[in-house]
Amino acid sequence: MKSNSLRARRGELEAKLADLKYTLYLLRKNPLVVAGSLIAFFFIILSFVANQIVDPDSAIAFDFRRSYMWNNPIINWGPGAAIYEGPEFLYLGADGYGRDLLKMIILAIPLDMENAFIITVAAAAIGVTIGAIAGYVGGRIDEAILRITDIFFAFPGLILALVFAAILGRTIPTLRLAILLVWWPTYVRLMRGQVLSEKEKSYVEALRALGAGHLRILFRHILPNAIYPILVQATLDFGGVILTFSALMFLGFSPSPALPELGNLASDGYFHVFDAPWLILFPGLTMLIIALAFNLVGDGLRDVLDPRLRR
Amino acid sequence: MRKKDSILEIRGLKVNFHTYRGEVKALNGVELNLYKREVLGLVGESGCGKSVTGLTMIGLLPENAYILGGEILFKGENLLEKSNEEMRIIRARQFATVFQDPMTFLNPVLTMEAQLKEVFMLGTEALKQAAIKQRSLGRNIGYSDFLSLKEKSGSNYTSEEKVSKAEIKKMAKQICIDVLRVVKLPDPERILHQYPFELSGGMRQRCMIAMALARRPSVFLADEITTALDVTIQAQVLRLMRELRDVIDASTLMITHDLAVAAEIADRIAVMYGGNTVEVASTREIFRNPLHPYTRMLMKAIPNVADPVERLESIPGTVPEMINPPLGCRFHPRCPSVMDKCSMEAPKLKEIVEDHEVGCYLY
Repeated sequence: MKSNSLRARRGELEAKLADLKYTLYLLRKNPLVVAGSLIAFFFIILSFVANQIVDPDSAIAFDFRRSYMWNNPIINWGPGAAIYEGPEFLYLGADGYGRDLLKMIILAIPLDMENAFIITVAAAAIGVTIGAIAGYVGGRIDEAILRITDIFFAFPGLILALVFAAILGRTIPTLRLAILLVWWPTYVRLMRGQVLSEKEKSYVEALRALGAGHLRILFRHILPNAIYPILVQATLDFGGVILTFSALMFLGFSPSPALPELGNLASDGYFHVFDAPWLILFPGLTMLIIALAFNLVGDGLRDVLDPRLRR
Repeated sequence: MRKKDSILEIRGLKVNFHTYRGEVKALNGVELNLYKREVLGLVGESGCGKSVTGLTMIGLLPENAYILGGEILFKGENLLEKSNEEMRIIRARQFATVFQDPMTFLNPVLTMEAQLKEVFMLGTEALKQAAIKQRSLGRNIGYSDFLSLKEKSGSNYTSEEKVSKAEIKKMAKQICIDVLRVVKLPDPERILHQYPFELSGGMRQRCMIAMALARRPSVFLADEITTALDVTIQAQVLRLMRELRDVIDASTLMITHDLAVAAEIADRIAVMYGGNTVEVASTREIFRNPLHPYTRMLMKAIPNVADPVERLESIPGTVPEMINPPLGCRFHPRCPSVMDKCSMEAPKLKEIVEDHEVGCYLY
């Protein structure tokens, strides 16, 4: 008995090792996914340590002598005649308040990542629950829920988010709520479709024949089968949410113009596209890289997660 | 075979299906008696209503079906009058079903452990008792002990002893492993960690049977369990089912279209034709002395290895269309000994010899 369980445990270990090897193989096969995950991972780490790397107080330390300056080891460039000859280099230039743009971007990342995380997770949770109920129950409830999502889909997402932001006010939590309100219907649609196709499968019939209740069938058995597209969608949306949130900020829903946030930093450079292009370029590039990284991760995620494709 | 108490009686069951082409009269007065601890083979060709009978029994008919009449008495209660929730509880506590295709009836993304353990964890009270019994016995208990606890749990058995959750989980796993041994799966510890698609068809079917056993059912419904398997695996699963007859305290309704399969394990065989049970008798009796013309012709159509003939007998005509079935006895257009009476009114099942019922005007 003992040797038996020992063998079983060793078998388990071997199986886990083989699992890991296969994951690595999958990743090696697709270098773009590796690159994407590395970048995404870098930004996640950065969002945790940003406040340790850069003093958060530097966001309110204004030095107007350096506004719209770009002084780095290669070039020293500024609008007009004023050239900053200070002791420190501004690698990515300075913004209108004379703050170091690199530091501001680093400070902006925790806020943006937190937003994206909260909004995608909440939207996915709400959407999955409502969508699962719509798909499983069907009938009038399904119809009602679908028509409500239709209303949301009838407007372009950003416009609707602007409307909600205008109604709710200009604080970070209300902006999050505004985007959340726009975002959940996608997941409802996706989840409903998944549940509709899963609930007709024969294992559900077998469960019913075993006498399993509806809640158990739906949340314990159908959900794990239906969740993979949702996870992929959520990862893809991570970048999208960052973009939308920054767009709201860019369009002037920022609670404070000096708030270090990617869209807010970019909007500062809006009137200086020609004399200080870095101000709009680098926050924009940061958004691009984050969104791209999470999109690449989303692409590869399904191959790695789904046990049916794994073994 | 001597008379026993019946656990499940189906009387005059009529079921119709709504379809675009019209009403499909799938069941037209099915009569069945399932006795305690017996195996009843329900045989018939495709579309004669075998599976519909099974599904009506467990209350899982599709939405376009409706029941016209008849009753299903299970332990004296009419199942057709139960609400959905009551039926669900009966399914969970009393019935166990194994379906035809083992490829699709297991959840593909959960490991066998998760699926099998879940069935046990549905009844934590039973596991608690098992854990208490294990303490008092001082040895690891298996599925057979777990099964024998079932009778006790009926009598409002409550215990003061506390059993921790971890212990219950351990108990569940232990019985999981043992029940996999009962269905003769090699290396159950490894199988518990595998996903259904990593198992072969026969192994999956055994897992399905294990899950059904986990419910400690009173009625075991096996809906064409050997159809999707190849012949060697069929033989193994049938041998397993025959062995399980002695292990589990349940009556089995074995639905199959293969007379040989039914002959292999059934005590009695009910032959269905066109939504009716036309003949019910013990296995020996039905092969020695088939009375209904349909059963007789069916027997003639079985190839005989010892005495091969040039050309096998076949039954003239085709299976009746169920939307506009022939009036009276549904077999009469194909019957060699048809009488005028046959097209007027359907015959009732009559007991001709002891334990041999036939629905035909010849007798």
